[in-house]
Amino acid sequence: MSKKLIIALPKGRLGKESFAWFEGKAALPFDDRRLRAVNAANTLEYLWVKPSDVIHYVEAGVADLGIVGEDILDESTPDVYRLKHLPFGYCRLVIAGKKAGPLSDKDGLKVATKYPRTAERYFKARRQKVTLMTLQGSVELAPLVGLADVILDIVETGSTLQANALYVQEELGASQAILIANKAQYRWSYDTITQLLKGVESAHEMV
Amino acid sequence: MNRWIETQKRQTQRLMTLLKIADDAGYTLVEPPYFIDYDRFREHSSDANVQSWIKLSNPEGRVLVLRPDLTTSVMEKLSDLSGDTPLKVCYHASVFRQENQRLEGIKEFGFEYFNAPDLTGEASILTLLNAVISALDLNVILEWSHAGWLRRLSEVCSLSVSETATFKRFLEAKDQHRLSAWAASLAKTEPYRPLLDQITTLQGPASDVVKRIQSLTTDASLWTLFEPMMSIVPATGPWVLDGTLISDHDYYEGFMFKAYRPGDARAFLRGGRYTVTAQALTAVGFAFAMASLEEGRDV
Repeated sequence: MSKKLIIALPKGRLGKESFAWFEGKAALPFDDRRLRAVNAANTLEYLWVKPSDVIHYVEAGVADLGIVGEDILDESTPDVYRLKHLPFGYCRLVIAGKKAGPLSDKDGLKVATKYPRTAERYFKARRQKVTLMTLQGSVELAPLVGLADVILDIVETGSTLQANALYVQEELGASQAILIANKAQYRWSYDTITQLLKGVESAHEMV
Repeated sequence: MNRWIETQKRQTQRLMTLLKIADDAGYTLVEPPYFIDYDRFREHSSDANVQSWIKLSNPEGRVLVLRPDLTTSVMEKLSDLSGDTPLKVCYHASVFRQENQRLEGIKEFGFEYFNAPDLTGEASILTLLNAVISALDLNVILEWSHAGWLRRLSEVCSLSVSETATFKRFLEAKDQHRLSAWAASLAKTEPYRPLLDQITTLQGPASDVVKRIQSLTTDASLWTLFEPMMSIVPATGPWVLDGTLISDHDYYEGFMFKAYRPGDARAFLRGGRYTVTAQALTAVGFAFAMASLEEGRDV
């Protein structure tokens, strides 16, 4: 009998979409206050964790697999496999400010972000010296109250930017949900993981 | 008994077992030097590894690094070894790294067979590896590959140094999605696109993987280099050929492998054939962190 796979999912909308991707939409809604649950076939155990913690559960081998946004993966660069880009969790990584138009290339620009490493890489490639401020949330507020000139953040529909009169000045790239795997568990559970993915994919093709 | 003492006792028993295996196979225990020229290490290591090194300078201003790797340190003491003299050494020593702003000393045990003849050396190391696995009662899966395979693939695709680094980065993460998109953006990879679009699926028993490569390209240079090793690596059991296996060190140039135990977070043992060109020495060997023997858990 193959081993039960442990999958770390992010709490919130991405987690629900991830759960539905594995179990089918019929499995929704579920009580997301529960932190762990086993599927009806007793083949998969789900752990619901904070989105930014998914990578830690997988990298440490507590979970075999996990689903996480590409933005978080690129920010943290954990030592995990990126097995599959999934058809949900789409968003864009942008730089936005109070004015429309191109991003200023002046040194000393103040940038507020939840993604300091991504921002550092980006501005280093532009050879622009900036002051980075790492914020944990409500990043859009920073330029409105003078804490920063611009923000570097993810945008899904753009409605939050619009509601706060902020404009996209630069698009850095797209992001979507990614299935990740612990390197050692992937090797030990290779057949189980491969069968699981084939089963899930064929179930989606039939819908 | 105190838990630390219990751990130390187990480690000592394992060490005695390993030293017995080494002695029986004709390996001499050595203590590699602690401080090595930064430049010497830098030429063989990836950028990711360099960030974890502990650097310091001596009174003359030379930049030194505190032993981040044992192989290069051992090589440093063997500069006068002639290219045709076989030498078997083992070590039980610490490597030093900084991770998450913490300084760490990690005790490793390793075997190195210098000037080992092709294939005979690999066969000898595999026998030694089997002895270690058996004596320490380890439950492992071993991934193997040939460093020349990805090097050759980079050559036939005419990849530049930076393109090769990008290629390796995608392979290391088994990120087929990004790898395929990147390959599609490079017209020169066109003849090898079927292979590149399936490369992360090239894993399993060696004969199956080679057949898959043959079905994806007519370039025989991309599979013939596996064939000599297939006569040595067991076709069944815990060995898996992984076409995306990337070495942590650029000095690997032939057979290379990594071992995983159930419950490990990452590979606990690494090895292969390598050459350090500065000393014109070649060797086959493997090493693992002693403390990692405490960390594996059965599932």
